[in-house]
Amino acid sequence: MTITATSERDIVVRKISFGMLAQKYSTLVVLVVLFIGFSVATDRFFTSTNLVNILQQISMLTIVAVGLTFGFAAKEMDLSVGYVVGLAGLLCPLLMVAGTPIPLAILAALGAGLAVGLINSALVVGIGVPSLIATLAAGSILWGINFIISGGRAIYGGIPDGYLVLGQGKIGAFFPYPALIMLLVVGLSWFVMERTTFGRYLYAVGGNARAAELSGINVKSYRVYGLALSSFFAAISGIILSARLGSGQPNGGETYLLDGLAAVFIGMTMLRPGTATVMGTFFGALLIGIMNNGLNLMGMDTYIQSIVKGVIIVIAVSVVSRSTKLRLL
Amino acid sequence: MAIALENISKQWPGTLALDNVSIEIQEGRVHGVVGENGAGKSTLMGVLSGAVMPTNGTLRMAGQAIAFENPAAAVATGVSLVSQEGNLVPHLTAAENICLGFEPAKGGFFINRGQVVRQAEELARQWFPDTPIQLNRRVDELPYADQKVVEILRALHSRPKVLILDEPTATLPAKEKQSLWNLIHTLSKAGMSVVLISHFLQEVIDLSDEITVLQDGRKVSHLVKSNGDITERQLIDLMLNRAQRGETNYHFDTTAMTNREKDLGETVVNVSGWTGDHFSVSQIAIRRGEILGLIGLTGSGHFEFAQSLFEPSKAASGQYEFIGRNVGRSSVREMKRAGAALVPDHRMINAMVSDWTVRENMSMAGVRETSIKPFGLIQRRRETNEVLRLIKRLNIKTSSAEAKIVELSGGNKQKVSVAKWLFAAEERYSLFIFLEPTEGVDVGAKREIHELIKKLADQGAAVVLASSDLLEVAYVADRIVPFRQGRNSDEIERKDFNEAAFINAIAGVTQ
Repeated sequence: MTITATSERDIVVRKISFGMLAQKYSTLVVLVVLFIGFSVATDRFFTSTNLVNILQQISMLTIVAVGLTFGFAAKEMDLSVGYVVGLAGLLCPLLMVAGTPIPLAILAALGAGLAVGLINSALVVGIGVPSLIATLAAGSILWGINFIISGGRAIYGGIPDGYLVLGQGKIGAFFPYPALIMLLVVGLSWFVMERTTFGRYLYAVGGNARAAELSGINVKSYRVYGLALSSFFAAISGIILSARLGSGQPNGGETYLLDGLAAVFIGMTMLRPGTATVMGTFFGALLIGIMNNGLNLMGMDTYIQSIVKGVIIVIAVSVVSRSTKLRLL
Repeated sequence: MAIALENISKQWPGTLALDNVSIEIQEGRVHGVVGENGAGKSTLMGVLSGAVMPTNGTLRMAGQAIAFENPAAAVATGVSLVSQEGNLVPHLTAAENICLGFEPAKGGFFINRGQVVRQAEELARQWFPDTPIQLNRRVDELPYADQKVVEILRALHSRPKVLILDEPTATLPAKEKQSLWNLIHTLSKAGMSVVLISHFLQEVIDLSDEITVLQDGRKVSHLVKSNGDITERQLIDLMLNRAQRGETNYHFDTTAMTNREKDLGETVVNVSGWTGDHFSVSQIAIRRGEILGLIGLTGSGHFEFAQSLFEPSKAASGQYEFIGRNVGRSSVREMKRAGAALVPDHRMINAMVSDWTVRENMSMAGVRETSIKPFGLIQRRRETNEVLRLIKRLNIKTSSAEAKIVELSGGNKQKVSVAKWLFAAEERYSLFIFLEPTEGVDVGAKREIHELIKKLADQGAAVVLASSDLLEVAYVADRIVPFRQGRNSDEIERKDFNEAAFINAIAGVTQ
């Protein structure tokens, strides 16, 4: 059957079968159901303060997860992001306590994140270690480094207010800076991935490296970009984290790896099933944020939240694996 | 009769891999199976060894219809396969590999290691008396030839009635080849049936009692040695000659081609002493406006040579001039910039991102041209318009530019693969290399692709066409370079085109 479509929109209507529809929007439905459910279950959920609060709570996670998305697009998985969050979140306070100006401290932390990404990609692209293993090892090394540079203690006292604003400030005493930074990161990343040749080539490399190579795309470079951006975004998140906490914590970012992966996996069930997209990841992070927030308000213990989160990851990955050829290694 | 396949057909999505093939495997005889890549040999062996379920047809053993659920069932019934790639467990010893799945047990649970080694030794002594194998070493530490022996011993462990050997000598050194040939004789003398698949036709002729020739999934001939000598020339003829089967859509009427005389432009490709894996080319030059056809048997190096013109640094060394510039060490990206384009074989593996749309796939190589530099901001409308233009121009049957590439038929996918190099780049490329351009393409689209290739040459590009379809090459090419065992032989000009000449050249027969 070949119908000549008059516009792109025709096809979208014609092609969608019920199965695809159910798959594409099931995650969105879950999100809406959770939202309504929590609104009914507790009157503290659906308030403007709480909704803004959710955005603020997910901001650091989202930024890490968007970074992971760049790696995923090139079929590289970065398991070191949690410790990069920790590293950046320690470096900034440490440098500032020692008297370094704010911009320099931030640049140093971002540089450190980028450096980790480049070391990871040297291992993965240069030597050929699978990214899963290389970044797992890198994470272990970073964890050690984080404890050495911090002496195993929280770094606080002497962090300038101008820095803390990044994590604690609000525009018009209402909209938190972290949420604003997150929205900027998501918007910019979406644009780069969906509207530029950079994003297109990154997805080409992840989609079929050989075809990309034979189309004249520099496959190695794009794998490096994927891993480098993954680390770089984790560093951004780490900076915000330390500003939010007002201190540098030696094991500050550890939870962001699992939650970040969960956000990406959940995102892969929607929009373009099987492909990590910036918007998908954002919705994934939003779903995790709403769940945590709602369960919290209902007085659920954190270990229950952890179980629920695990179950959701399993369901998301099952959905993706069943419908697409999900290959991560 | 050991086993018979009756009217076997196998339909894969989009291709009929086997079309009503019948074969009888006789006891104590060696049965050779030959055919080009894609002729259906592997599928046929899959059916015989239980790895592939036929769509139609019956397997019979001693007159009894049987069906293999899986390879294990085939082994239990007496059919063992030694596959081309091998399936040894690398970190087990040779002896453990030989007994894998049939381990003698102590107390019903613990493996009797002593017994494992004894059984392996016994098998090795029985079948390979003059090849000492270190049975207690890890199998991945053994030389390749010994690994092959281990694999064969493993297949023999279950004392099969039928042993299938798929390209057993492909990578063996001469001495080991000889001992394998001896084994084949011994086995058939012991009453076992051997099915032998090999690209080395002389080897098949020497060893086999009878030979089945496959082409495009059909059995085209069954030759019995006792009925008269079989020659390599004869086999190649049967394997490649499509005209004989009545496929005369393309004619060799060279007089009708005189209007193809054209002014050839500058030399685009000039290679000499150009050597890579599987090929060594003395000298070949291609000029603008001409189509050079490359023919040869599978493994004779013509595909590898064609591909090397696009990735010289990776694939070969020697002298390679591209429009007057030395590009012997250039990468794909440099070749693309210089004006070379490759339309590869196995398009879904080498050319397409399978979960992308037609638009995204078509613009993969040229999307930068429809974007605002320096940031590479893609202008979606320009991109889509360019895709729509090419869909129309190449008559690509798709519901839209946004349809998934996997929804298209083989021929239309192939057109997208060509369109990739026309996207925002009309007449930009000086060299087009086509590998098997009509593999899995229906007749109508085939013709359109042939016309497209000719048109590219008419517009002033140099074209290299490597294909295993002789009629296709004869129809499209201006001259042909035959390859044999990695070397290019004398060129054949269009006026001398005829199938007998091609087949002689491929077979190395001089007149």
